[in-house]
Amino acid sequence: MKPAPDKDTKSGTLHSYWTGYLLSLSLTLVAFSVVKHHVDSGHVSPSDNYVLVILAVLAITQLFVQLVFFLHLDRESKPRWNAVVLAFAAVVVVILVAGSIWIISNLNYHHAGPGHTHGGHALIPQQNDQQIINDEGISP
Amino acid sequence: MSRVETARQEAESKTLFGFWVYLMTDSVLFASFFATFAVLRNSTYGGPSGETLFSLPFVLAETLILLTSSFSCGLAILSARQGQKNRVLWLFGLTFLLGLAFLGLELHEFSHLYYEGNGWRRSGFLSAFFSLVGTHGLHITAGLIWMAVMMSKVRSAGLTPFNLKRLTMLSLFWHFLDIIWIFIFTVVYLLGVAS
Repeated sequence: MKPAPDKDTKSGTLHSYWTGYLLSLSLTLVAFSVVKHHVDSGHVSPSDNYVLVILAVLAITQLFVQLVFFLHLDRESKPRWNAVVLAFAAVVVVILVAGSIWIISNLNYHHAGPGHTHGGHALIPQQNDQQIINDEGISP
Repeated sequence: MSRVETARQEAESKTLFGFWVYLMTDSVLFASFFATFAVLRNSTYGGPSGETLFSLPFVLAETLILLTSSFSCGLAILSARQGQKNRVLWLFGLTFLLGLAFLGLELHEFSHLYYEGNGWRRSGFLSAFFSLVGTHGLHITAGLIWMAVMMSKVRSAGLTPFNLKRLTMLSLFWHFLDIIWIFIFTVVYLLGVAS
């Protein structure tokens, strides 16, 4: 039997909560200011693609910050079942989200015309019909 | 450590693991809503897009409030493990008020959108928006009710091992909702305004 581990190590310490809080706070504010700068510069300063990458990195970093400092995933004992279930859930989530986006954008391209996938903004149905007719060379 | 105590701790760790598994399946539920939103985010059907609807400073305030409530919830659990009953009640009270403020801001945003004619029936984008953010809001509501119940339990029965276990699960739930919100903040609001 272990020599009565002090209960603080199991639920983190004051220090770990402060670290997690301050890191999350700064990651949130950085993400906010990146987008603010992007919008203020008329959607050019960090380009659209860069903003996407920066925001994804910041959000995933914050996910790990909170998992470690708030949920104490790193303090788990031996078989680490929590981490195993988390990893499985992560796989399901990635398949679900990435798969949906992939399949539906492909479907959109073939059904609703290329404007959907390339232009970004959706068109009203009449415009869609017209675009498909133009693209596919269908004579009225 | 007595055998009874060891058996109790073993049962407790199983309960906490079960709750963790629930949280992970809940994240799959949210993933479905995120996938729906990602697919429909440009399907505005000629209506307004996120860029015109969302106010970033307002959402940043919501985010900071929820993050702070997650932090105070963590401090409350720390005090609970040290057996400081009054501090636990005080900190969970603070967490509760911050959660309530968050919910109030969210409902304000929802009613504002609805009365401007941008309700969930306006477009596929708005349906997906209300489903995703609304489901998170429902979770927050459930968490607040749970928190109120636990505060009265702690007030009447004190920090018993049973209450401590339930407080630990509540804090897991609350931190989990904060993590979900980070992704809503990023995917729905920041990306909605940025592109």
